[in-house]
Amino acid sequence: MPKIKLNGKEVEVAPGKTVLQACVDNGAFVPHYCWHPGLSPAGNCRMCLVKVSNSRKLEASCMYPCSDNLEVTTEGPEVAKGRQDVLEFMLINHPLDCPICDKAGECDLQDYTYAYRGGVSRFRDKKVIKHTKDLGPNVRIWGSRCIACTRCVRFCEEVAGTGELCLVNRGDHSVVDVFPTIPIDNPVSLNVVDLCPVGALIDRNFLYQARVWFARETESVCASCARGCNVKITALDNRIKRMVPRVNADVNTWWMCDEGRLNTRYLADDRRLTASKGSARDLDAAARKGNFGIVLSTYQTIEEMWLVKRLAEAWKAPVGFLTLTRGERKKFGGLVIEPDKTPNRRFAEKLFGELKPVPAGCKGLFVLNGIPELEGPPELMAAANGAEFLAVSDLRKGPLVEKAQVVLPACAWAEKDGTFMNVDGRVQRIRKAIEPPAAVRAEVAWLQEALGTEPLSAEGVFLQAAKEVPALAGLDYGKLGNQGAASNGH
Amino acid sequence: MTNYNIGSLFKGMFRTFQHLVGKKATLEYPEEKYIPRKGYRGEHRLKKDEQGRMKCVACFMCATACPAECIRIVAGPSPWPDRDKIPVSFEIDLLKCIYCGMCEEACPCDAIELTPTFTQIATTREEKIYDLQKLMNR
Repeated sequence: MPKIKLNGKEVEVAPGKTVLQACVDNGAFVPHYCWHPGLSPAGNCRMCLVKVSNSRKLEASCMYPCSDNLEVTTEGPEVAKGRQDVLEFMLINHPLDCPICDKAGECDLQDYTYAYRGGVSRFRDKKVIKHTKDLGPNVRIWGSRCIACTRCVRFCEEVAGTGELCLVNRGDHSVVDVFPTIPIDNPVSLNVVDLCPVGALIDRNFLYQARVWFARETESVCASCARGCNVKITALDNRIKRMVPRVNADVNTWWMCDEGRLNTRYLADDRRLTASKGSARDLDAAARKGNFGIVLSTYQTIEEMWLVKRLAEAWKAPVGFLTLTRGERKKFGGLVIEPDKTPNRRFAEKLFGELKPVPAGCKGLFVLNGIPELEGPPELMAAANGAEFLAVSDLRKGPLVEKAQVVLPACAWAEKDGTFMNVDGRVQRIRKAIEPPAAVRAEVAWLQEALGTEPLSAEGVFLQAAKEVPALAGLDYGKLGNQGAASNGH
Repeated sequence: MTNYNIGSLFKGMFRTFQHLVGKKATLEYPEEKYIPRKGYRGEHRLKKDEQGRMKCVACFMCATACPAECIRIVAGPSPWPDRDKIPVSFEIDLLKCIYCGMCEEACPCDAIELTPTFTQIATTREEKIYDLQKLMNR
């Protein structure tokens, strides 16, 4: 293990690591654009210059290997001057359109310019204007803003494996582009927008939607497949504007898929169910008459499933399941897109054993369907037609809701607190990012009303469940934190 | 000896006499029109360029600088090739506004301006929320 001296402090580094990696691991700040922990180093932005004892000039730390007794200095006037000069070159062709650039406020070039440059340009020539165009259905490029760090190009080659993007032209004319007739249209294409350290690549769905400093970010988990990628939800005026991945080495590494990212439109759907009919107490009264069945979707949270299980025991009702499977398992680097398009199937299996189909021939039926794209599959419709009493909780209006005697509108996953268990058995928290429509209550509230127990928050219900469900033993919201925790017995 | 302060007394009498014959400070409003001083901060307006288009590029700098949070902008893509972004809607709630002029100072395009108009007549709260058309046609 080579030992290096980092800013005068001796640290041990794993063999084969670069100086930048050692700096990042030991908390020494080194600005960088082209280096990304999930991609191969390229060494072309030159922003990560540091002073090393082996060399008379400053070295790009992302490509410099750690050798024994190497002395590394990441601060000081010489290093600052080096970074300043690199920035000056970058800003030669970078337009001053921060006020209308969507990246402003979270832009690395803006931050480092603010930190290292005096704010005066010595460049007196004409700037090179490059193309502004759509590279694909979701990605748009402002070429003039591009600093040619090639993060996006490397992502398409190394992680997506499709290689749509390339760097065209030479010198200060070089810019990212696609080949004619081949747009960037892979299932993980929007990660290039997060990777872009400047505002060159922009998400077309987020374009001009919000200035990031006005928006509120909530750490949550994506509900669009069983993987449960860790995300940050950006919301403004009670609307979800975008979702970006959070780093979680055990779940999604740095990436997430486009489908999950864009699957938020149903939250503001015109057909959103907002009015309730009857109450949870009516449901309980009807269920106690006997011959009652429950249909539960695997989109519900752990807390809700556990409450439903207690209801099922009280009512002696069989529980059938609604699930959704589409496509096949796809792997992109550290990211896996699951065919199971519901977030909590794993916990349903742990709690109820093998998932049974919709119970047929029941006199009364209670349907808890939180799957946004599922509206009454045929077997459910048949069971509902045969039932005398029907209670439905759903996100959107549909044929099932029209038939129901009791309607309890559902909260979408971004509108409530709770937990999901992902395909690997990892329990992760979802947090309320936006308010549900007025008069829509969280499921845990009215499920406890139906049970007739003391109303607890989602956290309280989880603590109760953790006492009785072996898979959750010893867990609480504090232990889950923002990265989740592996469930017991996994 | 008693000090009568004769000097100060005459000075005061002179000032009183001066105001008696000098220019009157009272304005017979509304018969007489009040002309505010230069730089008076009244109602806002959005400026137009030479072609009559709005100058605003919806950068939200005014909304960011506004201490009263009375500016509400919705941005959209521009139909003109010389710019990327324009406001689809631009609303200023003059009931919230404190007329500090920070929006004018923050604007990078010199698009928003506080005019000397200080009279505002409105019978409802909605009328005091000025929209894009109203702000442009001032």
